Amino acid sequence: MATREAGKKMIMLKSPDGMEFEVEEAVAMESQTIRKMIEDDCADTAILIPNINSKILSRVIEYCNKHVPTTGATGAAASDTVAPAALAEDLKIWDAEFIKVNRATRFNLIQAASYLNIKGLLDLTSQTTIDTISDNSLEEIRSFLSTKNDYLPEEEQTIRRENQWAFQ
Amino acid sequence: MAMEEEEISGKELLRLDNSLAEEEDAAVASRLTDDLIVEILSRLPFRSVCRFKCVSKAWRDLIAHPAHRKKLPQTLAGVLYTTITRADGERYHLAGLSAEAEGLDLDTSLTFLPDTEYRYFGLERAFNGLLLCSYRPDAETVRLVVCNPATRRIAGPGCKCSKNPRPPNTCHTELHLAFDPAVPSHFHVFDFERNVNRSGITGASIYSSRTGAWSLEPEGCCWIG
Repeated sequence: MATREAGKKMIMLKSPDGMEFEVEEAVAMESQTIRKMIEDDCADTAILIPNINSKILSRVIEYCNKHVPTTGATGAAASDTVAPAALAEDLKIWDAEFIKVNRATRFNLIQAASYLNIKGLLDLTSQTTIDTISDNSLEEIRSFLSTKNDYLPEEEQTIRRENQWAFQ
Repeated sequence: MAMEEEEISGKELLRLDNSLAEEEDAAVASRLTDDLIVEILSRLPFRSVCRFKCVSKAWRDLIAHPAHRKKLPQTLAGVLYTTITRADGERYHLAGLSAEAEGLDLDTSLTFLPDTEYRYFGLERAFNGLLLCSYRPDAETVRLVVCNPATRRIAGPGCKCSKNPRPPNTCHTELHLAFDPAVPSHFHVFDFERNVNRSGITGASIYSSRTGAWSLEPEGCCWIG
C-alpha cells in the first residue's frame, strides 16, 4: 500500500465490502474513470468503487502503483538511472508475474480494468486470456469462458465447413 | 477410527474445494458482459476469429454485429496487383498482408482458381477481400467465380457453366459483386447488360449464393440510381 509522502495528494478508495485504500492521486488517476471524476470535481477525498471487492481492488492498486509514471515514488524501478528500455523490460516481467492468477481472479480483473478504464491492465488481462485459449479446441474454449454451444448439430457442421480453413 | 474419519473428511474437503473453485471460475466467466467478450476477442487474429465463430451462435452474432465489426478483424488486409509477362501472361498477386497472415499458407498467385489457363481470365471486381473473376472458354460462354484468396474458398456462379448467349442488340455487360463484409459467404453477383452505345441498361441478372441460381430481371424494369 502507498505510504503518505509530504506534498502528495492522497485519495481514499473504498471497496463495497468496507475496505479502504489510501493511494496517491497520481496512482488513482491511472484509472481514466477516477481521473474523470477528479477532474470534474465529482470526487471527494474518498471514492466508493462499486462492484469491485477489496481483494481485486488491492490487486488493481498494486498494478497502478507499478505503472504510474513517477520518479522515485514506486521504488528503484522508476529511478532516473535506469534506461527506458530496461524499465519497459522490467515492467513486462513484473506484468507476467502479476497476471499469474487463477481464472476467476483474472476475469474479475478484466471487469475491474474495464469499469475503471485502465487500458494497460485491460490489454494485459485480455491478451493473457487470449494467449491461454487461442489454440485450444472449441470445447475447451467453451468451458474456459463458460459459454454454451447453442448450435444444432447440422448448424455447427455448416459453420465449421464455412470456416474450415481456420482449423487447418 | 477417529483418524480415519478425519482423513476422509480432509479428502472430501479438498475435493469440495476444487469443485468450488471450478464453480467460482464458471460463475465469474458467465458474468462477463458481451462488451468484455468482444474486448477479449478483439485481440484475436482474423484466422482465430473465424474459428471462434464456431464456438456458439451467441459468439457468431457478437462477432458479426455491426457495432463490433470495427473492433474485430473481419478479413486479411492486402494489395492486389497484376503482372504481365511473356511467359505467364497476366497474373494476379496479393501483397502487403498484415502480420496476422503469418503462418497462413497463402496462395498469392491465385493458382487455386480453376481454369486459369484460359486466355480470357480476368478479374472483374475486388471488394473487401473477395474477388470476382471471369473466364471465357469460348466466345459465347462466360464463367464466373467468386473466391477468397486468404481462405481459398471458391464459390458461386462458376459452377453454372454458361450463360445465355447475348441478344444481338447488347454487347456490353457490367459485373458487380455485393455482400455484407461480416457474412462474406453470402453474396450477390449483378450482371447488367447495356445496349450497344452503352446509353442504357437493357437487362440484368442476379446471382444469389443462397439460392445458387441466377434470376433474370424482366426487361423494361425501372432502375434507380
